[in-house]
Amino acid sequence: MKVIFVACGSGVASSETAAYKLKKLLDEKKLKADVKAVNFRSLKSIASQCDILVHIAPNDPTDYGVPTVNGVPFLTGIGLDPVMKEIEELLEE
Amino acid sequence: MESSNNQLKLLILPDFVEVGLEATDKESAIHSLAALLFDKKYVKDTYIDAVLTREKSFPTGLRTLDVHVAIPHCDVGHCNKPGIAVGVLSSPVEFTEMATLDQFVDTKIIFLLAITEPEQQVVWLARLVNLFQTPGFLVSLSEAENSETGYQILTEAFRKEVESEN
Repeated sequence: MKVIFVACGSGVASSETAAYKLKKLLDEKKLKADVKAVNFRSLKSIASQCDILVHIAPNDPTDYGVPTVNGVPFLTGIGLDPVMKEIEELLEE
Repeated sequence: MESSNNQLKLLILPDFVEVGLEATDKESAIHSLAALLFDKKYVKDTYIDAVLTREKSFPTGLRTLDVHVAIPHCDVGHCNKPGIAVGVLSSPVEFTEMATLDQFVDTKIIFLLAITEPEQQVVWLARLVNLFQTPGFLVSLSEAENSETGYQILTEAFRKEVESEN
């Protein structure tokens, strides 16, 4: 099963909420993935452990070496469809 | 359902909702709302600085379809009890947009969050985010006549959210 990390500044609200929404949406579409909310600060050391990174922390030029999508749409609902499509396509690879 | 209603009553006290919040910038707006949480001992005296500091590096302005919001918060160590203070501003203040450092959002409603256990409270946060995406909710809240009405709109909307899950 593929692993998806959702990262924000502290893993308190934004990443937890986005991860929760992502899990619900994946369930609805009957897609399987291991979704985890993580702290932005630990990304450098753990990014390689995921297959997809959903990113909510500010313009971070670091290339973590994994496909990265924007996580803000999980909180606003705006632009959510394209992001989910991207995640679905990445899961199918 | 009953326990959700009880949780909601403790999460958002009537005193936590302020309609017509006057503030010249996001810092003073956050100060005013944090005072509401602090008065009821929901947060420690370190809370306000922690929120302001975090907001600088990890901004929380959110651009929704109609009325823009912000969800400032900080690490759990500064909070005693979970709660949400809601400020509907008389005039929008600028927040930096989440996941950017240079895009700005004219924020009309601030949801100041006090979180003690992320895994427990994420359910309420997800409900709040669903409300952001519910047509008409933010508009009706932004046009509330006073704090009591704002409180009614909020709690009613949350109750409907909970009901729709069952």
